[in-house]
Amino acid sequence: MNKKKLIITAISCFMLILVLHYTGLSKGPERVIKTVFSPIGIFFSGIGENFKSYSTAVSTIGDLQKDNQKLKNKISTLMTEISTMEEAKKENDNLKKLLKFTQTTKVNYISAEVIFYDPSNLRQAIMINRGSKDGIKNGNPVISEGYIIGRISEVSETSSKVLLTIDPDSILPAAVQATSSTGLIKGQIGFGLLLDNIPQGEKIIKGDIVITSGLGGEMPRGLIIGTIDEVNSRDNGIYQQARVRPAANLKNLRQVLILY
Amino acid sequence: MKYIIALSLPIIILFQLSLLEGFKYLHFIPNLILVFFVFLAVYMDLKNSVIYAFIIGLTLDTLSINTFGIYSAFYILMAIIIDFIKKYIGTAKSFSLVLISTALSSLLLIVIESLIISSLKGSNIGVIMPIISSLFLRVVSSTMTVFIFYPIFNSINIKNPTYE
Repeated sequence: MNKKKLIITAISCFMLILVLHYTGLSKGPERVIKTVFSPIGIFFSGIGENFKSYSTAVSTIGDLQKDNQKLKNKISTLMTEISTMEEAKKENDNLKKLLKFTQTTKVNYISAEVIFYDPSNLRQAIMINRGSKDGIKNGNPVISEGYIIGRISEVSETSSKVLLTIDPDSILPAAVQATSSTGLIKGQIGFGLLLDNIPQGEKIIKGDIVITSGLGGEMPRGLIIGTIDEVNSRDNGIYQQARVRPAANLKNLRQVLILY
Repeated sequence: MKYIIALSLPIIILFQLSLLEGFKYLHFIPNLILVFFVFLAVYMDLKNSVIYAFIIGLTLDTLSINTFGIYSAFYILMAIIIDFIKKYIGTAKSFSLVLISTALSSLLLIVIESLIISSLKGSNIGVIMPIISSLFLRVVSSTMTVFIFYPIFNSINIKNPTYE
């Protein structure tokens, strides 16, 4: 086969694969790749976690590490509960005043391990070892150490992709906890967050906590996103913006919780 | 030797995605998959390197959040570019050829990804400029990895695995 024919064949195969992918006909082989790679990925990411642990702390040995992980999981659950309870309390008070209406929401948690990090230089995403068979759905919020880190963007049977809040393609409805001003939290390139679309009249200051607003109904209100680092308010603008420091440690993700 | 490559490839992909990419925020983490592929493309003929480009590209496309097809297209393009470089610049499996190809492919990958990101952010290339300079560290570190891979590849002496 000469080179010209080879290149044409390669391009044709590539186009065929794209067609198969976007028509959903290649789901089977893609699922096979994910299923085969997942357990080995856990093994490798386990090595990575150990490497990180040893490089940052000397005392992480044996049982201490296991206990530490258990406690971290416990803290994650409790922090989420606290933040959602605070919001629930506020909501409850308002509803009592207005309608004497009570609402109970049951949130389920499931823990997951990070299998892969995105190969891209600029995108921020992870793959976890929980999928549709565990009840995970697109849009489910993902939390770590009690703070929201992203949402499920793609679900397969045994694994899911999580789009982190700091990804440039990530947009979440957010609110400033102190003033209840609502806006949109957008991912920035380089581990940053931007709170946008806050009306000019709203007063936001450095240090304010930013939470999920719950608008759109995709995720519950009250999950902590981060704190305001710098407010950027222009006189001629309709909206003001603020730089937000993510509350979660997004540089060391190993175990996460999914709310569903 | 084809078995060594067939075994090394998934290990390198897994090692990169589940371990090294976790340290992405450090910026100087090399892209071993890319370096490995460059070696394959330099040491093999176009037919074999295109096959490996498909395998690597499709695996990365399946596991990545990026638009499906980006990595397949990129690796096939790189196979063709490296073949072109081999033909018109130097056919020998020289160190400089591998070094140039690695630097070029790392740079090209960043450019392609930057263009995708800028299209996501409303066609404003300015938003990615602050991070671009730090990404050049990745180009440098990936290129430096060639110093480690080169003696290994020379020692296993890949000629053309398919015809062995």
